[in-house]
Amino acid sequence: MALPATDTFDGTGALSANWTVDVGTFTRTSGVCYSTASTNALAYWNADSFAAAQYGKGTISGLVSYDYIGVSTRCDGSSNGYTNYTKDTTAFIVRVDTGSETTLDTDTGTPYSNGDVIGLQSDGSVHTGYNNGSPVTAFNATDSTYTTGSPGLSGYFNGPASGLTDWEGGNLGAGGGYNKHNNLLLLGAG
Amino acid sequence: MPRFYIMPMVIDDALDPAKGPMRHAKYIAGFDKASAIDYGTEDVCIVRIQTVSAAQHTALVSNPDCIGTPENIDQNLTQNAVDTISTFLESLNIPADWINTSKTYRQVVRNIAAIFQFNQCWNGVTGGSSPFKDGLNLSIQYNQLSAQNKAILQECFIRMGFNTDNLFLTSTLRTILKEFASQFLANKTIIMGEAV
Repeated sequence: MALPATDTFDGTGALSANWTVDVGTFTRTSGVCYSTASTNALAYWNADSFAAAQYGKGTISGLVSYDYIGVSTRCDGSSNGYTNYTKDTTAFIVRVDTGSETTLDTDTGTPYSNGDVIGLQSDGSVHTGYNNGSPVTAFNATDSTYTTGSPGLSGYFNGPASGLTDWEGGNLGAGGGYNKHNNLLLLGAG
Repeated sequence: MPRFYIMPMVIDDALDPAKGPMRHAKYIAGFDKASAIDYGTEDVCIVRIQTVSAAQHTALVSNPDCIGTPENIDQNLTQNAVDTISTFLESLNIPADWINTSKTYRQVVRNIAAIFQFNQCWNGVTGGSSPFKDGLNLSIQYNQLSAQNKAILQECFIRMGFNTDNLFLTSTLRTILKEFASQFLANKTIIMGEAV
């Protein structure tokens, strides 16, 4: 398929065959995708190959105080990868190691709201949380554990009250809206 | 003002009791923004906390397993600071023999963050281990490594696009970590909330 890969989660039930669910479970109802596991959840797009410099993004449908929904990058098929997920007040950039989570960045300043497009960009060793196409201030991490893989979805114990209405994954600088070296915007802050 | 700390990594639900256990920097609960770089699967990290009051800083560094930088990280270390930080790092298998009074705190933060990337690569290559969990120590030489560990080490350099020209049979793991960090800093960016 041509990149960027996209999904609007039409239909009901399990994700389409273009997805591999690595950790937990995801389902879709009336155009909303959400996880249903009482644990963290990770899925990746399997229908395309992606460059190491990649992104995932999706439009948030509802945020509540107890569920997380988000996107992922560099999922390698062994329950590894990076995620950016959020609930109503708090977002995390997380490294997932065989399903276990290590928090790389924490933002309790309500960085995302209902209808926002949550994104995660991985470029080299830098992983940056995005909101509506722009880097979230001071929401990023440097981590060299995983260097390749595919973008996808992430969540924690979501019900339909908190999900994504669409998803897009692609390579940086390939016309998908995210560009390589966006992190250079942050250099001036150093 | 942001501050940098070296502190343990722990697994608990302090960041969100409703969510359940996560591995995270030990003392970041309650702070608005914190960006951590772990030493791979070793339970220590360097963390930048976006806003830290003087009272919070005092409380953090009163913990024996946590050390922090001053607000101004562009000042040079004193000899007393060199001694304190070096002893702290070496006790955690983090090479510190390069730290001296000619270094600024920013250089120290950057180099530690870059050294940590090697263990992260080791984690990625091995699927959850570290050189130290695999029985190595900082003094072991390359020619004393098993064939498997040599392959892991080489893969760490290859994955990052680094060369092994400065690695020799008698290079110690300490030297190798510092060489990896040197190439990381020369070729890549350290971002912890902001560029460091």
